Amino acid sequence: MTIAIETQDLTKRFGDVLAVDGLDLSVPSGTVYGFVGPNGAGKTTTIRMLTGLLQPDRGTARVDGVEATRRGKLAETLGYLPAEAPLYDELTGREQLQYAAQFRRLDDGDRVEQALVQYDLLDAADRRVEGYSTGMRRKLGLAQATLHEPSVLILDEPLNGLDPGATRTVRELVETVSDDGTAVMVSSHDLTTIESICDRVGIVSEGELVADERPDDLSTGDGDRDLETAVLELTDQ
Amino acid sequence: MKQTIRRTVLVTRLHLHRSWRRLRDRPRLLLFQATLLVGGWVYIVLVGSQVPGLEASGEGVGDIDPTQVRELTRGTVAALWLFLAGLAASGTPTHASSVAGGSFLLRSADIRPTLWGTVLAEYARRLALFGLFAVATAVALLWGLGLPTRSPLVLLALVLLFFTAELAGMAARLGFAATGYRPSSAGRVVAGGVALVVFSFALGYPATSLSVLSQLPVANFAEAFLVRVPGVSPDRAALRVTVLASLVVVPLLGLLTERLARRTWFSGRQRETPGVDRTRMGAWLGSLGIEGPARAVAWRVWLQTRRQPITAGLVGAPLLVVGLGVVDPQGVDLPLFPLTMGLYAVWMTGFVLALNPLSSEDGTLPHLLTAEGDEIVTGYTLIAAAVGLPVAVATVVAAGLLIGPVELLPAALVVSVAVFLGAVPAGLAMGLVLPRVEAVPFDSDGPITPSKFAMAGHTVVIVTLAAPAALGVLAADELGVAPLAVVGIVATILASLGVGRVGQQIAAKRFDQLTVE
Repeated sequence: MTIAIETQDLTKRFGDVLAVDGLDLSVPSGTVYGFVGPNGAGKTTTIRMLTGLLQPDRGTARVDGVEATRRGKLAETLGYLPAEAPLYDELTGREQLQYAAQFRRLDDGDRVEQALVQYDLLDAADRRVEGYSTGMRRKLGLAQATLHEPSVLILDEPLNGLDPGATRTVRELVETVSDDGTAVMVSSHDLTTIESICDRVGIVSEGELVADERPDDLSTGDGDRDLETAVLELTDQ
Repeated sequence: MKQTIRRTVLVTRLHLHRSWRRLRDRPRLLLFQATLLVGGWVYIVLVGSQVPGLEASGEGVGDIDPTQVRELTRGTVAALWLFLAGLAASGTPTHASSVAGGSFLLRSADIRPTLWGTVLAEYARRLALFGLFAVATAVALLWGLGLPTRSPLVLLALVLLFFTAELAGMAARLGFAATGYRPSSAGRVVAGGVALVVFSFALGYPATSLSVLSQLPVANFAEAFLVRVPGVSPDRAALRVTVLASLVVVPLLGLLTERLARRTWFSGRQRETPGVDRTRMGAWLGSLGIEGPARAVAWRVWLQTRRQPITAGLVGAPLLVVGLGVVDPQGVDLPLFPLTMGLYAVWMTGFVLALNPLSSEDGTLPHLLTAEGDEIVTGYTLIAAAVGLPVAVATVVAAGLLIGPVELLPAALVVSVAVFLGAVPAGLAMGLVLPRVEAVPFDSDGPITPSKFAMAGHTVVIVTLAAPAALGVLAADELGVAPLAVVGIVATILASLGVGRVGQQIAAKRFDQLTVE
């Protein structure tokens, strides 16, 4: 089994705060991996180091075998959707995807149209992004992150602020992407969704990985606890 | 390399696409800018077309000392270089998150295309905005003065001047960021104050300043403009060395900028850490016998003020104006200068500390829920007095002693303090009656300025309260009847106390009537 995401002794400090403390992580290819933990536990910092947007103080991070510091190469294998989708309000949805396609030297005509259809954005494709709802922005962000069909997809808080309908849509999109063989890492506080879509769940607390197991194993560890209880117990909350 | 160039062009196109669309959202602004450009173009071409005639008549530089011409040109060019470098430094992002659309571009195009694509877009925007004007100026002047025919190095020198300044500014900013040192807010205020004093000095003594600047190596670019100017012997060797050195330095600075950007943008070292500095203000207020909600309000306003020292620093602006007056070689000859400066200090205190009591819901809401209107007003007034009154007094004293007339200093002091006591509570009332209701940027962390109507009202109150004293002093001076000044000052004191009391009551009532919806 190949490894899609791997970190060794990954460490990052901001002043006096040790945000990530020697994190060792290993996510196999084709897995949907839930990355959970309380606010300030180091999830986003870890993700930013995995995407090459933040340099670790110590340790290494690899995505599909590519060092995260090699951003050019990483861009080919990794799709990334931060909590706030990186979209330009002045552009239309179609233009946004066309630029993304051009940066990646894709045939923007076909690929963009396919993505608009796949993410149900065709009707809004020629409207400016600033008029999009939170759910539409998230879908456009996902379309942009997956446009180049990456082998690994990292989603940071993709369910934040979404209504139940949009949550279901995003969940289904993650499942579709995963079915195509893409490894997906999802950071979220929505433990019900995490439990339902993830093959494995990593729990991080104070910058350290305190658990890395299948959701079922975490939920039923001592007989009758759910994932929420497990997370609360393991993170001392 | 080919891919880098392609992506750089794409980044530039993306930025310009966004700017163009944003501009088209505001057609009136577009019309205004276009009118300005066309107007400027017509003006410059008209003026420029006259230059050859002037030069042909030999009146160009004939009456001016050639040494002065040289020093002036060198100093001006060095000042232009410093200005461009400063502009570039201020606009250089020091962290990936401050790059527009950084998490998209840096993951799609990496750092080199993102950096240079963004820079190119900025140049294109400037060219579009000021370009017609700048090109018209350059063409008219270069053609009018015949500079390109005098030296082919003129255009090259212009280009190199621009690029060395831009790249040096960017590299300096990123180099400073790479050290990881973050000056405290108070440190930035002090640095800004020193810069203002230096700038004031430069304005006060332009000849000396230009002479100093003309000694800088970048001033050598000016030699290109001095070729064949009558009576002036340009230093051709220095010009050649500077141009050659710049040709080497520009790519090196480019590489350095890129390396520094690579180092700082992803380091996470520029992350802001909120200040948690402690203060003894609470204990000091307690020692004065001020307890309860009024003390809590005063303490909170003080903390908020201390943690935004740049805003609080505005209270000291009148002292800087007095400083400018001191270095002004023309001198200041205003009979009411100390009083004017004192009133300016009162205005500034109101602007910073009184006119916008509802600026921050986070800060204000707890007081509305726990304190009476009277107590809130007392808290605000105490802090305004603790911060603003010493500045007002210092401003009047400095203006009176350093500029004068010194004999009006006591009167100016009394009137300023009296107006202060009236204007601050009245300012609070004004801020509550005329709150700022316009939209402000969501991500703005700077000072939220009061409403324009409140500022106008505050100005009217101060001018009206000070008017009897000012008129009395002027009349006494004009007519030689001293009691007129006394009458005017007493009228100002009484009016100020009355307005202060009424303002205090209105503000307290308004605070009590506020409801949370």
